[in-house]
Amino acid sequence: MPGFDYTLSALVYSLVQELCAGADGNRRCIENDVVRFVSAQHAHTPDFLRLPLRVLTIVFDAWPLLTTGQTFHRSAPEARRRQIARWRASRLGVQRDLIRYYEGLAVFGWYACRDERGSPP
Amino acid sequence: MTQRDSTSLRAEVIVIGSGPGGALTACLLSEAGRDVLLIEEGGDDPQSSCEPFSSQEMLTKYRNGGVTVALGRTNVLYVEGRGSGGGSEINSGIVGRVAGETLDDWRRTHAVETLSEADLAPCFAANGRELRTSVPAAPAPAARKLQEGATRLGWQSADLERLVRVDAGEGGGPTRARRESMTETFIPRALRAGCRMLSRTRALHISRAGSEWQVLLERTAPGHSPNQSPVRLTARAASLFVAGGAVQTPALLRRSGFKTNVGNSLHLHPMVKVVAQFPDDVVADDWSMPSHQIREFSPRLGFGCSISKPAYLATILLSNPENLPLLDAHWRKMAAYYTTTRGGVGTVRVLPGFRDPLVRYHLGDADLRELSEGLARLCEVLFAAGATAVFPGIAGQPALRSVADLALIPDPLPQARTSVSTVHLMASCPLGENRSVCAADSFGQVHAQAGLYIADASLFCGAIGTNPQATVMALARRNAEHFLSRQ
Repeated sequence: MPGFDYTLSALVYSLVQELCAGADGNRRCIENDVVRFVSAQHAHTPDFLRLPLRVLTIVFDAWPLLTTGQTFHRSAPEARRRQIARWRASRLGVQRDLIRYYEGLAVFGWYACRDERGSPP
Repeated sequence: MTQRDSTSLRAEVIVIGSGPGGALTACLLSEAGRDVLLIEEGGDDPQSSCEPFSSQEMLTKYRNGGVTVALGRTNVLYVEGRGSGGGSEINSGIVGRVAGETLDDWRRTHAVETLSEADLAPCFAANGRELRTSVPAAPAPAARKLQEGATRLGWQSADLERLVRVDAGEGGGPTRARRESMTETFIPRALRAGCRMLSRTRALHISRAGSEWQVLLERTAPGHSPNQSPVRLTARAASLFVAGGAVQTPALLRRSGFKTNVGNSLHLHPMVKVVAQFPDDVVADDWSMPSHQIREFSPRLGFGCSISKPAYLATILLSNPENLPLLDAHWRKMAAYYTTTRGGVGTVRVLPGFRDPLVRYHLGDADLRELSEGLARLCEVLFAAGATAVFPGIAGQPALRSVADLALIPDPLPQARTSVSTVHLMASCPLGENRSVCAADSFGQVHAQAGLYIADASLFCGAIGTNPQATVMALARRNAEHFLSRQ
């Protein structure tokens, strides 16, 4: 499901860019590690949660189509940040939960991968 | 696509799950001359296969990569080990014993026979003789802080005995600590005594087949990829011990049609974590778990140190992302601590068409009030230890800077904004003679199912308020010895 993979990757990059600082010289490699980590974690998620999370991630990707004509993963960084902020503050718990799920994995992955590459904070 | 293998394995005893309860049971029965087949769903990676508390460990030794959640008004994130040795390969190995008063309660509420503190003492002692334990000679800096705070407040606290072997370094080099996990202790002993072990093999279903128990198994090849088909086979034995842990055991039993008092009374130790910042460095030379706990309010409230690698600190600080930049500047001065309670109750259910069980947990207002009290006391001891700031895992909660700020801690803790997690799950199939609430008899045999036993933390009658591994193993030894005496 390439649409899902592109979205997961774009979302993780955006969250890491927003929330995680440092590792300037090595940043791109660590970001790639984090995307692989989150993708692997998603594959391990309990099966009754995995499909709803996939569907919701694809809905997240398609959300801006009506207003901007672009999917999330094709949007500019600033538009991505705005969409994440809107879902994070949404009145709908399911939208907040999706962002929280990816935030938790991305931030844990960032610091773990950074540590494992020998670049602690 | 699943391949079928006509092979039917036979043994006198099958044990499903190689965690502390299953490994000890398999070992004792094998050494008593029984023909034992030990089934393990996960891989057989040795303890040294990955760095403790690393992302690789999460993916290879934790069930669902550590992404498991008990759903409720307050979701509770939990972790379970998966692989040879189960939880003993990933936990802190802290030796805690169930309190005598708790066992007295179990006898009253669940009519458990022959389970007093004195009854269990020889089992704790025997396990203690067979496993090496150690208390750190010098507590880790984060543990020392907790100790200092407790001393200043006049609270009882102690360095904890852990199932850790300390080997002398080669050529006078630094000493090396290794967990006395099941892959280092009871599994090799069981294998030496003739036990056969099948790893990467999942028990799908159990059923009665004449006078025997039949287990339908699904086995994957090493390095299994999604394109490879698992192989299905069966195994039969006169006696079957299920030791998959407090979630997987009731899931397997319910999937197989055994539902009476199974999966209805899950208990856990709800845990709220904080990051404390100190004026001086608290980073340890290694990443071993600092093992100091405050006992003043035990078993109702527990307090201790948690793993404080930056990734773990970050997940707590993420409750309020504006605090994350502090990590880069001050991580050496930061450590993670927790408070736990025994509150709430939950269920384990199997969803048609899915492999993973649905776990639900309910924390009521009283439980969230107790967690609030625990959090306030934890912050109090950390400030007494000299913390300059405490960051609770509660969204929207400002950092606490002094004892005066304890008034800012919500009471009860907010349902949806509090990050609650746990590493201790138990009591989903309680033992005892009270058939209105118990799944198994006083020695772990499922009621009305001769030859079908449970051998893990599922058998507890409630939350015990301390690390459960030692009690799981004491109970497993008691029940295995009873099984052998009856044969």
